[in-house]
Amino acid sequence: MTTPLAGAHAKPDDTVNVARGGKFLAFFLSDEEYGIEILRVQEIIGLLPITRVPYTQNYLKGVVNLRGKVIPVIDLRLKFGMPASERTSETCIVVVHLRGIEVGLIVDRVSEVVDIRDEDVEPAPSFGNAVDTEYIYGIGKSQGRVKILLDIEKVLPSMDMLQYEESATHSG
Amino acid sequence: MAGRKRTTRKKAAAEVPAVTLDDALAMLVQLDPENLDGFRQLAEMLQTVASGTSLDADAAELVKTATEQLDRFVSGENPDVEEVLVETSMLLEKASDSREAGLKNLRAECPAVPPAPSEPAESPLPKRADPEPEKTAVEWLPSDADPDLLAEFVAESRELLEKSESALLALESNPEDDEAVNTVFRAFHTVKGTSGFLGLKVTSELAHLAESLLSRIRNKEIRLVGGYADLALRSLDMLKKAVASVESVLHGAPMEVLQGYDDLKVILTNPEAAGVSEEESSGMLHSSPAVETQEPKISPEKQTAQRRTEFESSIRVNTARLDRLIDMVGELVIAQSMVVQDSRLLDEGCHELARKVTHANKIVRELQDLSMSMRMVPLRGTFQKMQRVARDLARKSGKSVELVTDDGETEIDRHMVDILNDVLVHMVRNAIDHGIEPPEDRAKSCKPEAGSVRLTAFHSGGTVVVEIRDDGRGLNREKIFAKAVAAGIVDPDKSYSDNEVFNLIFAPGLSTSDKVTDVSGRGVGMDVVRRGIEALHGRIDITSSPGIGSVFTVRLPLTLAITDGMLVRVGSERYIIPTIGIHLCFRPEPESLSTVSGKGELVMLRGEMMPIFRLHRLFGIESAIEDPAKGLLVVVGDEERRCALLVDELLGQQQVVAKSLTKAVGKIQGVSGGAILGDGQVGLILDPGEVAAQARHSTNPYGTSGQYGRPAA
Repeated sequence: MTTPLAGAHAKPDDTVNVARGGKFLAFFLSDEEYGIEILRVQEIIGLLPITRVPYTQNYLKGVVNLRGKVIPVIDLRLKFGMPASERTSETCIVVVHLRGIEVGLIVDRVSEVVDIRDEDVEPAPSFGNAVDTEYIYGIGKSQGRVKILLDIEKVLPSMDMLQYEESATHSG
Repeated sequence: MAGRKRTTRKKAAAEVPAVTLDDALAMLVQLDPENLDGFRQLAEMLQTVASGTSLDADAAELVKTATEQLDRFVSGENPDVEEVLVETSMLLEKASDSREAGLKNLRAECPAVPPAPSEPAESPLPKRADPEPEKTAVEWLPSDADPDLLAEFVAESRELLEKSESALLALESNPEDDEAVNTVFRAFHTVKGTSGFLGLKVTSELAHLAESLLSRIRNKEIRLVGGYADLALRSLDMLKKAVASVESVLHGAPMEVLQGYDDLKVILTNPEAAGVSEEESSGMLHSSPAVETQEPKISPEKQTAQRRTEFESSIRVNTARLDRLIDMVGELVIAQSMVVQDSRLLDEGCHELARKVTHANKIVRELQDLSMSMRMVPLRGTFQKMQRVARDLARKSGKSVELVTDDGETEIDRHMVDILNDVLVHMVRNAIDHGIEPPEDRAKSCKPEAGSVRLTAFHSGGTVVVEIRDDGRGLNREKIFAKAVAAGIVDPDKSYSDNEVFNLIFAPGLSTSDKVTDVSGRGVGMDVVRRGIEALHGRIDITSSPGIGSVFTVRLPLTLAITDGMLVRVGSERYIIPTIGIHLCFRPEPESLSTVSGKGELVMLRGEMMPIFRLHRLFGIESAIEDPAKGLLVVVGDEERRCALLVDELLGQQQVVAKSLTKAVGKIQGVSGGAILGDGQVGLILDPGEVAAQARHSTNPYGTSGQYGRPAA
């Protein structure tokens, strides 16, 4: 159980995921359950008023004030191409560390912190072109349920990609 | 130890075995020439070191000689404190060198230290004996260097060298100022001692030589004029370079080569042999051809009046930590205003609570003022640097110039100082090189031979005003205009106001100088000024009368951290438009609106036509006011390219703390940053120029909603 968490950023890009277990924060998007390495998570906050930023991708909901810091907030549902959902009292923002800054992720519901053993993590399956599995670090099994473990670095490879491609707008 | 009699010195070795040569060196640096006890203590310490086992025979011999020197002083045999100090430190450094050399054989070289190819400081003895001086030198870091100590050394030395620079300049105009000599001497001495202690041999050697020069001045052997002044300044520059090279190595940069170090060393070792005298310097010290130069007069009385020795106690604080503190105070202010605005406070029966909140409010405001003031630094230092610029330039160009500075005790944000420094350098250069006429021309027009450049700063309505006033020939309107026409910047048939023409000098590549010198004339300087002032969110105005002189007035905000902005609403969104960029806001009459080919919208304001850009369309905001006659137009943009932005309403003026968004979301066109508004939400600060440019460059700026902003989610 004391397996050190392999930082997702530490492994070379082209190798097959050597899945490692550890502690994960589990949350729901629709009825799918996801997990993020707990060491990446700084805090969980309720929904705040979000300021929209022009010329950005639709999944960037905008920026919020986190105790004086202006941090971006990403709607994971939109990022993964799922339909937007109604905000409920359970909707919240998971603040994670990413390349030296904090980033907020909007999730439907946070469920628990789970401990997943090395042997219970399987590499991401391939679905061909239908589903992009690039940002999936592995599939974890816990208490008979499946959790999609995210490699957050791959979910947001760079902050510049948040901007709306201008060339596309000019052709309109 | 202080009270111990000299007779008991022999015992000290047994009692205090831990004393090392380094301790003694450190103590030597801190020695106060007035304090005899200090000398006694040092002598005791050295005795201990010499009799200890840490040194080899050679070093021990040197230390013993040093001890004798000190004893001679203490007993009054040799009353020259200076000579004793210099001798002692030289002996000790030699001893330290020879010990280092011994130790080095035992110690493996640290791989982290970049090896220096032409390392002169490797040899244990000073390089002076070398028959063939090398052209360059490289500062060499000892393998056991402590980065923290080095960083402290860099910070401390920089401060000292800056102080001594202004003291040197003051000395030149008033060579009898003993206090200034001492300031410079102490600075060199401290740099020498500390660098020697840290094992920075090149720096320490250089500082030593410079110190010797100063010591001759102090002893009135020579006067700090002419060649000696140049030499002293040159040594100072070299020391600055050496310190900078240590700093860059600390930051992981490769070792810098100190150009011309050995030449300087040769001159410093024996200035007279190298032709340095109290007369005007020969071409050797100047790369420029020898011009008939005149001693620039930098009014002595003003200088002395300004040079106040500062003894305010201070501590060094990491700027990142300070910025964080200021951020947190900003947060506190917002949190506090949220409490104040809470509706429950207004209820009946809450008087007691309201009173307490008001009290807390006062404290928070004061705290905010205080935190803002912490980042402010006086302009005096920046102005002092200009004395040097003016001096060098006056010499080079053979003009006689008097630079008078009056900082008016103004302070500006630390972050702005560096940019302002660059701006001022170019403006002072411009004033001296282009403004002030050569002496013969001045004589013809009945002006005093010495040109005057006045650099003043003062507060005016929440801004800092920096003014550069020269009594030179003034700007030549026709010449500027002709040049601008030639460069294709202006339309020769249109008429321009004086101010518009004068502003043309800021256009890149436009120089009114007929000849290109190594100082100016390439049309770069004024472009730097313009960019610098833009970066500082400032403004520059020029007034000039031919033959009488010009005045350049720069207006700057007190700090870049706070933006004075207008809060506007567009649909459900709020934006901040910096007040400095807004010309006016108005609600147009329906008849003043017109369209071009049914799409491009124009508004007529006081006979001027300007395009209307709808912010809600640019940013893809729904439910905003569509009819310009029902909303408000905010006129932004520079003189010739004004445009009107359509917003729903103005919510009021507000001072906000600007925060960068680049790390969070990358650079967004039209947005210069974010700020926390009074209700805790983030508001975006717009860059009106960029918004307008964005709108203009879009092929179809009047597309449907969602095209230019984010499609509605």
